[in-house]
Amino acid sequence: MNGERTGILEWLSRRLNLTEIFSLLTSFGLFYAEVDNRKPLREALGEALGRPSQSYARGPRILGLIVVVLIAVEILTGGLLALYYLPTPESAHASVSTIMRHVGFGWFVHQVHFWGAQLLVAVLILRLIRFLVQGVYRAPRELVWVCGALLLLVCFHADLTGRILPWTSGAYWSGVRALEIIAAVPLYGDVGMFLIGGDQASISELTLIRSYILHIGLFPALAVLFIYLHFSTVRRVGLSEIAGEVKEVGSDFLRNHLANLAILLVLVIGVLVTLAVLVPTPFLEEADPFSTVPGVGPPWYLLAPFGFLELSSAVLPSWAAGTVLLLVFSAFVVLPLLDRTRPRRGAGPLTLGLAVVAVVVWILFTFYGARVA
Amino acid sequence: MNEASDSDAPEPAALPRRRFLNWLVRGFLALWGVGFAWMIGAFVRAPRAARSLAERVIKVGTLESLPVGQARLVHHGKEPLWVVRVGEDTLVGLSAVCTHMRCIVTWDGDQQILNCPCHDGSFDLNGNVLHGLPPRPLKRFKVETQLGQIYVHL
Repeated sequence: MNGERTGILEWLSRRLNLTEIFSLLTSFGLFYAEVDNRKPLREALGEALGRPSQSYARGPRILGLIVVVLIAVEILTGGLLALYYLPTPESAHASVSTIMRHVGFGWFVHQVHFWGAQLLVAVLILRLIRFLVQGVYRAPRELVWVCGALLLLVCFHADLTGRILPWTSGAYWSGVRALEIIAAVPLYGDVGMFLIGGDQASISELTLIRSYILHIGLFPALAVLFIYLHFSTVRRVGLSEIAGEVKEVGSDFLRNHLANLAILLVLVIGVLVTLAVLVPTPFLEEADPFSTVPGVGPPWYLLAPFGFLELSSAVLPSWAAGTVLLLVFSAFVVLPLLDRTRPRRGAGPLTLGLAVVAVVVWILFTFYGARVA
Repeated sequence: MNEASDSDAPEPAALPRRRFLNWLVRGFLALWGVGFAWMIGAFVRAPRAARSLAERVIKVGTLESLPVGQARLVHHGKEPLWVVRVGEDTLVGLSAVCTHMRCIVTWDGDQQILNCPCHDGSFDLNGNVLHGLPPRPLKRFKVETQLGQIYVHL
């Protein structure tokens, strides 16, 4: 906001509601304070900065920002990959091969897109664990939890549909394993199979194009929606409280916040580039529905449900085991309704105990699933 | 992106260092921006493989259907062309239009040459004129095989 910029800003502000545009940007992670849309930008911003507030580009809240940065990276690299990718069983593998071998930096964009997705899922899980431990699901922050949980589920699905797209043998058989898990869950599995035109036993020729449409259309749209709703509710109810934190005021606060954002961006991209270069995901030969690749399991985040289904198949019919999974995931999303004890800092001992048990059980089932896969 | 806020009374000697660090950070971020812009540009720029896809490619048939030493007349595009299987993996594509009077040349399997029925011209399998009136060699086409199919690039 220097003197020389005044002319353009004022010219624009007579023709556009700049405050509203800024307010929209704040809904996607730029800055979280509630902005009065009827006032001119400078006045509204001054007012927002006048209220004491905490930066969310520091401390444990950084996890949420990493999510926003990673989703932006995924949308950018995904848009680039879509310039070359062809979603048909005949040409999918060849088009990814073109990206990997002939397009400039194609291998890099492919690897960053893959690793960005893995990090995204991992960071979302860590973030929900922090919400749980610090009680960021109690009134009035129920929707913070619900948006976070739904965002995690959306990212599971986005990764799942994205994994099939290269149409490599690993992708194909990993997709088959995942479909078996999905099909075992009543209602949800039926809707899933209906949408992607497959069934429990096989991937049909429509599955690829439908996965692609869901991957580039529905799931990114839902992810952006949940991010928007998350920042909307944070603007109303304020950031989560952390013991001993000092609230700050003024334009230095905004400048420091933006500097923190820039540092975060550099670090996240640094981690992504390192992973993409040093631990690239292998690009295997084309999928062959008539030759199963040994040792291909479901994606890592589905190993626990996979292990549970495998273990319970001896004692429970598959629909019953699927119902258990459905109940567990539903309870996870609506946790704020289940634990409605009065607001206080952190989770109650009972919830915390249950949460620790849940995480340990999940990890054990993951190990079991990895062993039987 | 400058950290001017956290030191209230900087010593005079610290100022050049601060300015230098500010420049360093900005220069680094600028290099970064340029690097990423260049990378995205290099990605969006279509590779040669994609350009050759945009060429007109026609499918002639399976490799099995054309034994070694035989030829097939392909009726496609503005002018017909001969595809000759010279060896096990060697295929030749030659225009079937004589460069003299635009008659359609015929395949002579015994001598492995192409003859023009109009004025007794003939061409070898490189398209070069062996004898007769044709003024120029025949136009050659690129032929390739993929997964047992023969393709000609027009």
